[in-house]
Amino acid sequence: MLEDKVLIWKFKYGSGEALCRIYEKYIKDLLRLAAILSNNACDAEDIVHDVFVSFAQSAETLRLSGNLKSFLLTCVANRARNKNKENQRWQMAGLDEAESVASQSKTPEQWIIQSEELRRWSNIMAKLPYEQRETVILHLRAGMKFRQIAQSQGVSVNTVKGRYRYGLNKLRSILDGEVEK
Amino acid sequence: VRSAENIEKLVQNLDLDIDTNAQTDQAVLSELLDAQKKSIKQQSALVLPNIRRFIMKNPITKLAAAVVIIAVIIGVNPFGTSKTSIVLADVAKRFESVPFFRLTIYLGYDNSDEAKKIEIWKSEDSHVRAHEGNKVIFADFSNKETNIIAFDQTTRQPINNMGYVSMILKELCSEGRFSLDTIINIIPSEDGITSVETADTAASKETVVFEIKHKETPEWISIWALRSSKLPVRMCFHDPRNNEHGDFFFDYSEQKDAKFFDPDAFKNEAQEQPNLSSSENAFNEQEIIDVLRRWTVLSGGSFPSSLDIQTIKDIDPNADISFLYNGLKNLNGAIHFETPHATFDRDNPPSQDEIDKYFNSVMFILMGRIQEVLAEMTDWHYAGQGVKLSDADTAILWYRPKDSETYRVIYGDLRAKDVKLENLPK
Repeated sequence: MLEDKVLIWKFKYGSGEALCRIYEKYIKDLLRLAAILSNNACDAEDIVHDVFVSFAQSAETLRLSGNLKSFLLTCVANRARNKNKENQRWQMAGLDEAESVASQSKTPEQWIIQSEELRRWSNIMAKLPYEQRETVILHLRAGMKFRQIAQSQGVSVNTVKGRYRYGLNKLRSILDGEVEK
Repeated sequence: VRSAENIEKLVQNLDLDIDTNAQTDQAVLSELLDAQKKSIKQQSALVLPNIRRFIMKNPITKLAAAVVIIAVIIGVNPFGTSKTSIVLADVAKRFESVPFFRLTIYLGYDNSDEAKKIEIWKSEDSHVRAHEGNKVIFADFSNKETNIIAFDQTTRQPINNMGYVSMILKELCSEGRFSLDTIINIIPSEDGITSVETADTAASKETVVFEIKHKETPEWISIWALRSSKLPVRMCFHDPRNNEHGDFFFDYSEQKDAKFFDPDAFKNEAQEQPNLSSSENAFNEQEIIDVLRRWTVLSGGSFPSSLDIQTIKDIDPNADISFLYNGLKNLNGAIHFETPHATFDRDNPPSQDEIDKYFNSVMFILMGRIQEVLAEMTDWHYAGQGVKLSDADTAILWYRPKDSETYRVIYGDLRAKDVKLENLPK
């Protein structure tokens, strides 16, 4: 937290060193969040890449009232949400297969190296409706408060709480189902 | 069957390991650094087409301009039936007729100590000089061909990154005119602006105030003008949505000579005074000295053992942190960090946790700033460990300013002087 304040300060003064440190410090957290939200390594890479490029260009305009990690995680969540909507549009247009082929072609140069556990949980979480998945992950894994999530999603706190509750219930039934098998 | 609580704990404690391909990391980092550099270099080019955003980085500019549009074009009297007969159009017209002026602009946020300060001087023959941070910008609007050049104030070398002020100048002084009218001309629309409201009650005997509110947003703007001369003396805006504010102060009392507006004179000043780099550095040097002085007050007279964050342990966390904080506020670069109000509230003293947190925060930024300053200097060495403020003849820090053959040495009594390489402490 303290280091972040100094890093942001230096970054705003154009320090490349500070940018590198911010990258090293948070890249895994961001990729992890993106991977579990998108359940697609290529999408996760694109999301985090775009977030960092925008961040790198934002020194003049950046104003942080909260902490840096929450800010970056929120950026990733916002981009992941947009990406999800985009993917849904592709699917509705019947182009999901083409997208899938394109994504797989990137595999040899993959940036993310996911653990088995992360893959497994990404698949489990993918069974939740997207809004519920995002809410559960942001609250439990990114430590964001319902109020912050509501702000980020542009909905009321009660809606977020509802999504969270439904998400947990659904998750429980998925996990219980796995155990029964 | 798992309970909701169990599920929460399970998800929270998952060990979701992830790694990255080092080669890709390098490629991405290099791309990011490029993007950062380009962003800094192209600030002017990027923002140039959208003057509305950078004049005040706030839509209120549009509001101000629209007020003038309304006043000038539609002919609305913003004071209605008030005792003054001044309309904003008079003020705009009068401003355009002044031969020279100085405009000081502060842009910032209510909850922040950080404010961007821009100073602009205009000469009678349409030459302009402006200061923004460490940049000094000269512009010649006396001909159709506008010529703008920026210098680094310390090195007096021309720089490419001209900052906001050059963009403002280019737009505001188009065709050699520097007036409120030129603001109007670059604002293409007056949509969303309500009619001008009067501020009759706020007007004093000497001044008249134009108060304007936006139709759909909570933004407002005020313009003060002298009743006698009709000259604008102050303009401020506020946007409560993000606590953004700006203050513009107009001064017509001081006429600068031609040399002040001459970029060659500014550049040559450095050549005529070979020691100038040393004195310019003295500003940063003064910052370091101030920090060191404050440190010795808190530490009982000892200098820090090193100039990095590790040295925090040398200071008693119960020391008077506001003393250090006040020192920080004076540092070059307008450092901003959140100040816990409790720290300064005697009736509501802060908890030890708050003190610790604040203390660490202050120290961290303090050391960060010292590192920043020293990074701009070459061949520096710190030898303050074990030295006390009373050790007048012991050198604690020395460095070589850029382009200087001699070194600057700071001694235990915090005096600084030029020293040749051969006379440096061993």
